[in-house]
Amino acid sequence: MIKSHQHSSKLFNKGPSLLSKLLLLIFISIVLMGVDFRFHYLKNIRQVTNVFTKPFHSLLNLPSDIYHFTTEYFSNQSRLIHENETLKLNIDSLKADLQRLDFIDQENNQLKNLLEVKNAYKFKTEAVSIIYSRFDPFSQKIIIDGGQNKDFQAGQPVINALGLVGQISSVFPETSEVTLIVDKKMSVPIQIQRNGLRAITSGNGQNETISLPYLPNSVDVIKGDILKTSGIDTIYPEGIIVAEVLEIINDPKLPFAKIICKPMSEIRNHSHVLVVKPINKIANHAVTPKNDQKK
Amino acid sequence: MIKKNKLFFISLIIASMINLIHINIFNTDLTPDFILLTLIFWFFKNPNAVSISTFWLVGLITDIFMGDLLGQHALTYASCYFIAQYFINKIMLNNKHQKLLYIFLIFLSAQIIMLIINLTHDLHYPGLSYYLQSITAVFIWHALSKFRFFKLDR
Repeated sequence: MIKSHQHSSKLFNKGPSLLSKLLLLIFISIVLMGVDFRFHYLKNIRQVTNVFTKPFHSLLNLPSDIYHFTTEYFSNQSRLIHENETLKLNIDSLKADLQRLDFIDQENNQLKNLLEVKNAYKFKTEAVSIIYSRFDPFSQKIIIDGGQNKDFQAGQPVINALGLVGQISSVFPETSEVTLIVDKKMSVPIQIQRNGLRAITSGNGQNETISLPYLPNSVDVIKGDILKTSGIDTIYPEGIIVAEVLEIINDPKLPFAKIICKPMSEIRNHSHVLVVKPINKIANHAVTPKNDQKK
Repeated sequence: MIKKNKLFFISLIIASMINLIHINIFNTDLTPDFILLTLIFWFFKNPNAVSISTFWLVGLITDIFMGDLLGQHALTYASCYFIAQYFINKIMLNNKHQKLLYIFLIFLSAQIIMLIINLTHDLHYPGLSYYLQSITAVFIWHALSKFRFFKLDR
């Protein structure tokens, strides 16, 4: 009853054996991987293939879009009215804040001019939607809507209302790939809000956390400290919230403290991000930028 | 034969689309590689219809569309074919639950190969929850094997 399921029986053995075929294919794959790792030509191929995959992604997003649309459409009217009122109130208070902020900004600029400090970087943002996150447990990347058609460039920071999300790592015709700050290859120069201590973050990859490596055990960091971008690298604008210190492990045996932080931008819960577009860059490059993205 | 080929391609396209949907629970990606699942299914359905080169080629196309390095899926799928071919008599002889163990082993080996490839070019270790994907793959296989079309017994 049970037949032999071997691909090639011994009687009619044609062609090379399975093992030799496997070894050949493994060899070709390794050569391809090696060449790709060295020259990154897959990125160029992607430029073309991404155009074809985009309709599929919008098709896949259709069910969730319909779900959001219907739930919003059938949501309670009174709740909407209530929400509207609170939003209006919020806008009023925010407007008042903004006036004050404008005044402070102006004053700050004047003071800086007095002190002959070069003006820090001004930026504007552009809202884009997240299309999907990459199917890849080894790297933390998301794909956003908009690429060369919106003049995005690799290296632009990506933020949302809560804080820093990441940085654009590659740009395709209509989409761009954003490497999140939790990715292992991502580092961001930061400053602790409480005491102005400067450090560089490093993504942990797993657990959605980032860490502050190479800080001594005696460093003045406490739980709950807010990390902000320091702006010394001219890539990230100054003062964007990055993360909150979650845990500090001081092991006397180790030379450095282990500081684990949780990114503030809860990127998994949002569907939109803001891409930062610089208006003017810092004129003097007194501080050499740290390598922000090694990839 | 042409009809079967059509079905093969359609199933692969559907699998690649499902691959893009993520089931994210406890910050863990539970979605298994549906393309590999489909390939292995077709292999067990009709071992002579798909060859190691088919697996490799499908892997290469997967790499072009969503891989990190060109050739990583190709290598993984080709190795999976070899492992599946090695296990095929055992899988056909054994009962339903023992079959699942072999399916789990094939998926686990695929994940380990992928892990080794990714760790060699300096990416992070995704943690123990990474292996949950193999378990979800087995569950999906088990759930689908209840339907007549997916039955492998002949």
